[in-house]
Amino acid sequence: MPSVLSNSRSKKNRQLPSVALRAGLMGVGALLLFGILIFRIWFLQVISGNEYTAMAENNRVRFVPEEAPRGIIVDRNQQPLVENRAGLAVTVFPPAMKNPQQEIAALSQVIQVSPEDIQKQLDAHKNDTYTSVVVKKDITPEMKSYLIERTPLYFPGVDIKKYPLRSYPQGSEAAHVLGHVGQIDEKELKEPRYQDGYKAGDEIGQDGAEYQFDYWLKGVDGGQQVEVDASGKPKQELSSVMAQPGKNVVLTIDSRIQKATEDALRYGIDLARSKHYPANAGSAIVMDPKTGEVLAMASMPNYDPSVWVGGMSTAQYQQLTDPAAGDPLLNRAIQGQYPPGSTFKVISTFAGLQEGMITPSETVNSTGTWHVPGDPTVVFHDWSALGIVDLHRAIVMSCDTYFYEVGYRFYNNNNNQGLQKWARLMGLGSPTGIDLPGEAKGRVPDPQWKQQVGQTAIDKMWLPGNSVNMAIGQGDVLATPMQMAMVYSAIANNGRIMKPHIGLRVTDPVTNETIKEWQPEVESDLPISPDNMRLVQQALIGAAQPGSAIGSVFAGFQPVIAGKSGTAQVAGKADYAWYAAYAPANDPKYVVVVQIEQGGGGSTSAAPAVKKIMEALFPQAQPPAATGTTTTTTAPTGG
Amino acid sequence: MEIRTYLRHFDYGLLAAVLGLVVYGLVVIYSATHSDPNLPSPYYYVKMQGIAAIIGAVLMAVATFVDFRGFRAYRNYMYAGILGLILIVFFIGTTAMGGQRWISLGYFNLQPSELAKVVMILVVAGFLADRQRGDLEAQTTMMTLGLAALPAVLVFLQPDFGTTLVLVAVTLALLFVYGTRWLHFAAIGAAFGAAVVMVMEVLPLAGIHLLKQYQVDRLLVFLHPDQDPGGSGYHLLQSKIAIGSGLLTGTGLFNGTQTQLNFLPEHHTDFIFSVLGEELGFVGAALLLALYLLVIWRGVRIAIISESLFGSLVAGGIVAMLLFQIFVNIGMTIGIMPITGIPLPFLSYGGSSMVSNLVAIGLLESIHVRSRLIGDRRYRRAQAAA
Repeated sequence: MPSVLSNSRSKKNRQLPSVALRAGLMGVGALLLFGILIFRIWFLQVISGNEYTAMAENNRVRFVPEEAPRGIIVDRNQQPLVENRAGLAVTVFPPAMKNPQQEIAALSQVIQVSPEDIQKQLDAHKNDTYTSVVVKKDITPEMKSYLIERTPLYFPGVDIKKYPLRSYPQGSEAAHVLGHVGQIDEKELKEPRYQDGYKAGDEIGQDGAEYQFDYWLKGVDGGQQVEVDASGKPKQELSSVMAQPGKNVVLTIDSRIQKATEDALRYGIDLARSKHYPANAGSAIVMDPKTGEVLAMASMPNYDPSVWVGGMSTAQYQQLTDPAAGDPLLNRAIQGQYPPGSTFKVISTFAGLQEGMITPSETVNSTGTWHVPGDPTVVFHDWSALGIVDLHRAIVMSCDTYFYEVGYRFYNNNNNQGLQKWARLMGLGSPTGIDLPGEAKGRVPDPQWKQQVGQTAIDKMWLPGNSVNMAIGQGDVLATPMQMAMVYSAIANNGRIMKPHIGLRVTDPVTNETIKEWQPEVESDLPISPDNMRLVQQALIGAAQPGSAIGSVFAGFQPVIAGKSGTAQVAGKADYAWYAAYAPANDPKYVVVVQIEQGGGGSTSAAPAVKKIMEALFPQAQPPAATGTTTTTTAPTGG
Repeated sequence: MEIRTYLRHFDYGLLAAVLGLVVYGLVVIYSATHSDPNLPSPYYYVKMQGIAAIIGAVLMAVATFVDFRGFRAYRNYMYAGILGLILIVFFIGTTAMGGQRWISLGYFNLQPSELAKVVMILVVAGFLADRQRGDLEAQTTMMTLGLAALPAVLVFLQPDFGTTLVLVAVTLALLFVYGTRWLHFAAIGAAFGAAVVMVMEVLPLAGIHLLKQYQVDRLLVFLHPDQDPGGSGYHLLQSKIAIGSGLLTGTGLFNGTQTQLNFLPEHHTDFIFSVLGEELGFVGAALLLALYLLVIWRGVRIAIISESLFGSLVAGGIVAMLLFQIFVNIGMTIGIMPITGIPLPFLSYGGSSMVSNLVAIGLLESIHVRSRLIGDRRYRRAQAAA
């Protein structure tokens, strides 16, 4: 009965025309929905496709920088002073973090870096989109295992990688000379010095040789562009640039002498303390007068440079810069400025002779006190009433009266630039130009200077006392131990001043070939007559012998030492001890200067320390019998 | 019915579109899964999906030959049967991804909620067709809702929120095609709004959480995907990055970095469209939508030309089921719909879904063939001769 079926159905359909209508409406609705989908897909893929492509790249491409190891620093005998060790660093790849704030907070707890500091690191790199940022260097094994267990589940985007770190095989030795490395900051990045090849996050030399030779020591970073999957696992390397290690720097420093110098300085300080002087600090320099090479440079108090490795806490830094702790970061050899005391008398001698104020044979009667002729109100004291002294004896015995007279003659002859001229010729008042950063220039006072700094009318005037005090290295004259080492180097080298330096050569880390060498360089030749030079050299030999102002410190020492002590008075402090020497006196190889703050007289602590250094410099030449007299200086001493 | 007669009235356009979709899906699944190192073979998912497609195709053929009108008589048994299957899941079901949805059948896992989609279309359509002609009273609407509510609630409790939504959408579509008054829909809308407020706002205050937190997160995150890129927003963001980076022609099969490097989650199931969008670009996406539109168009046409109300309802229900899933799934991947865990028909990996959808296409073909017979003189002649 086909008709029944078809007829009845079609009739029923006719009863409900709305069914077809509504089905059709559903079709219209479908078209609408498909329209929405296709429009939205068009928007995503075609209109903003590039944006999403960049995001996809950001997802998968990661740049893992490979920090180039810095060059190592060795002493002149290839003894390593600064090396690299394989450290570990924690890196963060910000786009991979799912909940950055929470993760940074958790990470902060693990690596002991404040969330702010982590954020600061990330911000510094926010334009390098594919780069993993180092947020903590030198992590402990505990931190490492903790993080490795929890990455990438709890710390997505956090990774651990090898990171070369500085190490100091000689401990605190030469800490001030070597300096340290630290991360370049925003301000430094803008300096002209760092315009070529430096980028945020770089480790740069922050002080000492690390700073001075950064250009050589710094390598060229490399890195790998890797493709990672969602869990951060590297899948393939897209491109890679090898890191080029920095060049090695050979210093003029001799590690053995450096060690001996530091020991000697410590010994001098202890000696002064045993005699109840505060002796809170000091410095020492050993250099070759003929080349200007610095063989040792020590400063106390010192510190262990490894505290800088991996970044230090604020508390640690405060401790290192606390004046109460004696400013251990200060390299007193080039940054400490002191009245040079009697070590200055050689300058006054040259000035007096060359400017015609005195002759070698002229004598002065030392009665213990001296005053400006016609003005007995201001009394200048001498350390001892030496009687009639000529120039030679004045230097040997460090006679103040003689040099008061020299100073006064400059004043009296209205030559108020004579002393100054010779002080400057011999290097005072300006940095010596040693290849170390932060060198102080000291001070050579003159009438212009007084005019500038004086507060009152009388303060602004150059008075007789200014010349008189200056002639014995007191008053307003200031010098760094390095400057005084240069003065005595000039004398040891017959008036030829060599440019001081601490960098010897730069070598290739792979081939060990010399890339650059710093040759001895003549800074200037002092216009001093050979006779006058010989006179001072002879006097300095006498000044180191028994019977001189320092007593028997160097009694019997071979080879013969030439030297001069200094005892500088500083208002409100114990005396500052100096000793400047060179040896062998007839063919000087070494100039040694020791300065001890509040270490008493030059012979109390500085000269014995110099002797210790000399013993190390001339180990064979030293007769064993002579060592017994080292510390038994009882004679009245001056300088 | 003679096989020749049958083949003469077959809707080949629909078949071709569906075949295209299934093949398309297999290709994309292969691309999405071949590099998974945990698989026994790179073809594992493709093979499983292919087997499901073959089983589905056989059942589709069966559904085509069987007179769909026969189901109407068994609607009560089907209803009881599907309720039973869903209930069984609660006792012996396999738990995965926060829900208990599968019955393990050895080699295959059966997901009754997927079957429920098709079965409930037949049940509700049968119920409506059995009502008095033109009975558009509120009682009919209420009873229909009640009929659908039971399995919907059970599926919701598994919990399978996505399928629940499909069941609701299909039921509403059936009421719509049946001719339910607009007033009723307004009332349903109001009640739905009130229920949403209750579930999302009022009940949680009283300590009753009908939706799990991850479901709420997923539901709401598409409104503010940037707020929580680490949690639920992560999936959405990665999906949008995948699709967006596909540009016009895509990165090429097997070359989508979002897919191949696993930035895209669940890339062979719920987010299969993101894989397609990334690797085949706008062209690939448009081709997919064109195939779907073909299926929907043929389905709507079948609903219109059906010789019976039951046929129209079943066809309309199937169209609604497919349309709803397509729109919500793709909408989810492109950030205009909540993340609800609804698979993309014929594309997403999943055997139960594939089989159910193919059976649904079989039903459409069955309706098509039978509505065409009315105008077939040769068939009528043959019938008369018999």
